[in-house]
Amino acid sequence: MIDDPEMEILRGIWKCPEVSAGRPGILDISREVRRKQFRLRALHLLEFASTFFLLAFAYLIAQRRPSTEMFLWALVIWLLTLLAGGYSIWNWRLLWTASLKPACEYARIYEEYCVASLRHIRFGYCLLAVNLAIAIPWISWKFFRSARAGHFGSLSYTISVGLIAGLAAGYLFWFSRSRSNRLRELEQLRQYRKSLEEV
Amino acid sequence: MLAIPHLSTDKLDPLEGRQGRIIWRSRRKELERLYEDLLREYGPGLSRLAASYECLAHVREELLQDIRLALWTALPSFRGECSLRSFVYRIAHNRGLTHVYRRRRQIPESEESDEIIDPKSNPESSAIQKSMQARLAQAIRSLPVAYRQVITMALEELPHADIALVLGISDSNVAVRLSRARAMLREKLGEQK
Repeated sequence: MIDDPEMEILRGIWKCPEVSAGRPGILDISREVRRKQFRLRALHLLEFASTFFLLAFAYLIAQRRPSTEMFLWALVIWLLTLLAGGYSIWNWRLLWTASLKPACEYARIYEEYCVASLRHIRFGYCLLAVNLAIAIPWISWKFFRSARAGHFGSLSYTISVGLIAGLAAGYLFWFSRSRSNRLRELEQLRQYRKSLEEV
Repeated sequence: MLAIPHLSTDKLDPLEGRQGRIIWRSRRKELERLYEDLLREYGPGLSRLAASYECLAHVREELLQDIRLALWTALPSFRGECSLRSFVYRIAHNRGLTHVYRRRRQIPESEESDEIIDPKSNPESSAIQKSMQARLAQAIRSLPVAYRQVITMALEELPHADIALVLGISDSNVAVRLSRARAMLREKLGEQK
């Protein structure tokens, strides 16, 4: 405990009960904690649901139109989805118990999280490139093959390519924003750790 | 000081059978009671801690919610390796650290609003107190995070040993850091006059 007049004056101002924030009731807090937990769980469920949807969608399409081409398509979707899911779990394993650590250790784990996040983004770029490298030639090949028979018009082709390009642009924007955020956080964390370590 | 018995996560896991469920429910109730006591004891301190990380009232409330949720989630893992106070402040500062580094835009001083006022209090004296507290909070927020953490814990009357446990540095390092933080704070408060 520091006993000196300056600290006592500062403490008096800092802890002044007249202006301290009103504390919510315990019931409100439990409700708010439950709400927050629900939101987190819903977010995780949504992630699982979207993975499940992708897997089920690929399976159903392959079952409805049984052909080597559709089987290959479903296999690519399954492999890429499972690869992305597995990589995501492996990448975030660091942070599961981090908040219990002392601040300096937490900052180190947070740094690792940022590095993992950057790795995740790089992986995302690669996955996007693989997806585009598969999807665009596939659709183009399908278009040229069936255009003669009139099954796959140029409008459908344009819409498909446009959708893929739109999605790719969205992902690219998200990746670049996340990357610059993580780099900024990483820099601040390094400064924080440096300032904690130097005496 | 709260007396918290040893709690482990395995005790809180749903056990097999009806008896297991009863034990699990009673453990959960016990945990809820402890959580309530903890918030009663450290709630005001946590509000002030949030004010040292965030100037905007509505964002500060979100940060406080995050801290409360992190505490609730972490409480079953408390094994008494440190005091409960260190445990609470450790979690709270870690959340604060994440909050302050995740924020993309630094808020200019002109946009700051410290709307922490009790409407039941005397309006005149509370306006003066509010302005003094706002100035102090603003000066603390302008310090580098590592110094901000030390000074807020010292203002909350945490001993050096507890501050060292929260930050994961040595006691002597805490003393050096605190003296620097006080010098910086003096300077900042002087600039504001």
